[in-house]
Amino acid sequence: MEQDLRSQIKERERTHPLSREESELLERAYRELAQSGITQRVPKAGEPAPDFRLPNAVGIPVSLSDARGHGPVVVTFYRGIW
Amino acid sequence: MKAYQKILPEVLGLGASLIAISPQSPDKSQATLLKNFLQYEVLSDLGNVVARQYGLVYQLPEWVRDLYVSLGVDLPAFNADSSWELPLAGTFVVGQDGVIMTSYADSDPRNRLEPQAILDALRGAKKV
Repeated sequence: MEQDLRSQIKERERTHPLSREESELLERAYRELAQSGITQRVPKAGEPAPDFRLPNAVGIPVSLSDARGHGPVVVTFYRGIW
Repeated sequence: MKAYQKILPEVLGLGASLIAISPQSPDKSQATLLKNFLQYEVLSDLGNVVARQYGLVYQLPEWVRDLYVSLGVDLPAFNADSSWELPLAGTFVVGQDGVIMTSYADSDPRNRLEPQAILDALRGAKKV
């Protein structure tokens, strides 16, 4: 995921170097996101984890409540393959 | 995800499991699964419905979208969704009782919760 994004960006930078304007644009987007305070709104330790039920890669629904029946669950959100 | 895949044997050894959630459509998730030989569940959260419940969703500003496309990241095509919304890279360690033990979210997608912090949380839970 993020590593893939980084390696993809690296590869792209190798073949088509990012211009100063493009790098600045990306940095500005990250900066504005940080300033939006979005990270303050995620549930914190000690709060209940919202339950979910979503299809896995082959379409079978998987729920958090079922998964934690077997033990703790690490839930990680990511943007995609890039 | 690759960094987390490395600690997967330890996560499983501690009696826990790992679930990865992305807004990609199932076909793309399947490609990810095959590409990275993932050994854990990769769930499709179309429209970022669950990510929104976790407070992680933001919209890419219009002025940066063209750059993403030129980097080969055509979000509407990847996610079957034209909203240009993305989840933050957030990770939550959830106890068997459904209470969050560790919560992490970062606005910079180049950062993530260190794999070691996940293992520490799981080991801590085991001692209780």
